[in-house]
Amino acid sequence: MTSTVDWDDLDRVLRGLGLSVLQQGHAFGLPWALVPPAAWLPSATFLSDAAFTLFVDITAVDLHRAGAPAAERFVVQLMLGKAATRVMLRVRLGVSEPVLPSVAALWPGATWFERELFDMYGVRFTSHPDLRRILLYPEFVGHPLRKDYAKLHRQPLVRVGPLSRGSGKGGAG
Amino acid sequence: MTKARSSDVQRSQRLVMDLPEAAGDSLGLVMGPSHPVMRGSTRIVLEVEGEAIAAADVQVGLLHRGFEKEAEASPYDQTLLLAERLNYISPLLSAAGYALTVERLLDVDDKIPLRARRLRVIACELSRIADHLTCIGATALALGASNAFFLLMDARSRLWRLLEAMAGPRLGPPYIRLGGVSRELPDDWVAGFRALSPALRQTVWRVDRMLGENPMFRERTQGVASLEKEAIARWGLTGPMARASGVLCDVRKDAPYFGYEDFDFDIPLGQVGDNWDRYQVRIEELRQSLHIVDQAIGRLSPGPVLIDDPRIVPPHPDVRQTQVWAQAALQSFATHGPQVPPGEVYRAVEAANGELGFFIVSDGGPHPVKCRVRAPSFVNAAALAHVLPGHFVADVVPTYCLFNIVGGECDR
Repeated sequence: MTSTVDWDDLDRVLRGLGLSVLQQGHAFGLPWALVPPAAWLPSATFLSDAAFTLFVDITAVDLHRAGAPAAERFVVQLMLGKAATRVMLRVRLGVSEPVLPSVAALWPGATWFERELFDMYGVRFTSHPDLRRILLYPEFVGHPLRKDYAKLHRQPLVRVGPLSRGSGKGGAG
Repeated sequence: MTKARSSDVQRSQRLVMDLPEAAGDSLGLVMGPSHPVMRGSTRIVLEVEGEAIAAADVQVGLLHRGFEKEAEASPYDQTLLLAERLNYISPLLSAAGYALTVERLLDVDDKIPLRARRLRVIACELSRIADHLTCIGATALALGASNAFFLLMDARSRLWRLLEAMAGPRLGPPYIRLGGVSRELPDDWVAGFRALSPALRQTVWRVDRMLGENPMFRERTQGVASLEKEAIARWGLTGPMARASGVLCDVRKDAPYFGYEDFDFDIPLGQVGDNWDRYQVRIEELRQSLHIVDQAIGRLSPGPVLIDDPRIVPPHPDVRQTQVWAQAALQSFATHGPQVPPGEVYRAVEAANGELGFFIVSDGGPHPVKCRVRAPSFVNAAALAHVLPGHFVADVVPTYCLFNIVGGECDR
């Protein structure tokens, strides 16, 4: 199948740019590749050109409890599809400055998913068209899906004064 | 019309005045979350010029319950309870997706008893019918066709009675279980379905004549909120939304589960990808789902409905009465839940509004490290914000209905 060839080409293409795939594997038949943060956008662009047009998901896994070093705490993964095939592109980010270039220009569907990732994990996306909280309110403090955010911590929303639009541009918590 | 109270007027003025960028002739208009014409729990902030929408900001999250955070602190079997409450119109589909993913991780997905798989197919397809009936009914009501709405809600109510007999309460039915389903079909259930099935078909036929041949309904849906075939994939749209635009995709065919490969059914496709095509695709899917249920009932063979695996299912009460080890096993099960080996897996089901996927990471402990829900409602809501500008305010609610955004699933 051509899809497999495209996916296997990823490392060759990245090497041409002076980058490379750090690690590869399968999650129950679903291939994934871990790339350095600098290779995030080039890899995504290559996959986009290689007909992985279907945007499936972007999410992150926090490895805080698993004893990952602070510089490699988050695994951000982009899942893409071509017909029935699914692949995952992964990158490891540190907790101090988790920043990635946005892929919303390639897959507009990613716009909201990147907002959710920013909301839940505090990962920032550069050149994102509209990076603000999405599921939580703008006044929310912290990022609740980080493992060091206590599950029982409560932040009731108390608004005094006029009702706001509820979503100031770039409203970081 | 009753006169608005002055406090209401002041409040709405304040809402409007608080809107930024409302320059020139444009006006800010807030629809929802609690508004008589709005369905669900979404707030849509519009910038309108006359009747036309210049910009739309779809705001979700009002039903956010922290599903993923809860799942990361719960045993695998207890999260099933939360999964049943993701999409409250078709709860069995959400539960099926979660169970399928955990069973893959446990490596038992091909060992689920055949009867349980057939029962799951019946439960999933009846849920899809209930979901589509709701979706079309809400759209009909939004466009003033309340007679069609009542016909559809009556059909759904009768269908739900049948689902209640099969699966339990309508909201969060405790039916799909890890390793199978929780109970046998009642004795007279198949007869009940055979009696209801022709009535459902007739309702679909009548509603399709009432709406499909109604020039008003056609005018209000044709050419509204069109999405081109080329844009579908990059927006992440799947399910009826993609099929309405002519994109051939269906998880039941692409990556079959529960033995869907044994069934014969067609995938209806639209051409233009407008609201009319979304309506037509759903009407045809109602017929196809009934066809699948008929086949599944014909292929029901006797047998157990739950897997016999002590890692996943606690010992049977009969055994617990006499065996000490079984009592101990039950206690361990109640505290820690099923023992899931380390690994990571993504599986998806064809929910009523698209590909509902679960991505679960296990480190071998009692709770998952990560339990991600790829919610089709969330994808659809993002596309709604994109598609609204250029349309009229009156198109917002029918489009919202046909995008089938269910708050519980969208906001998680």
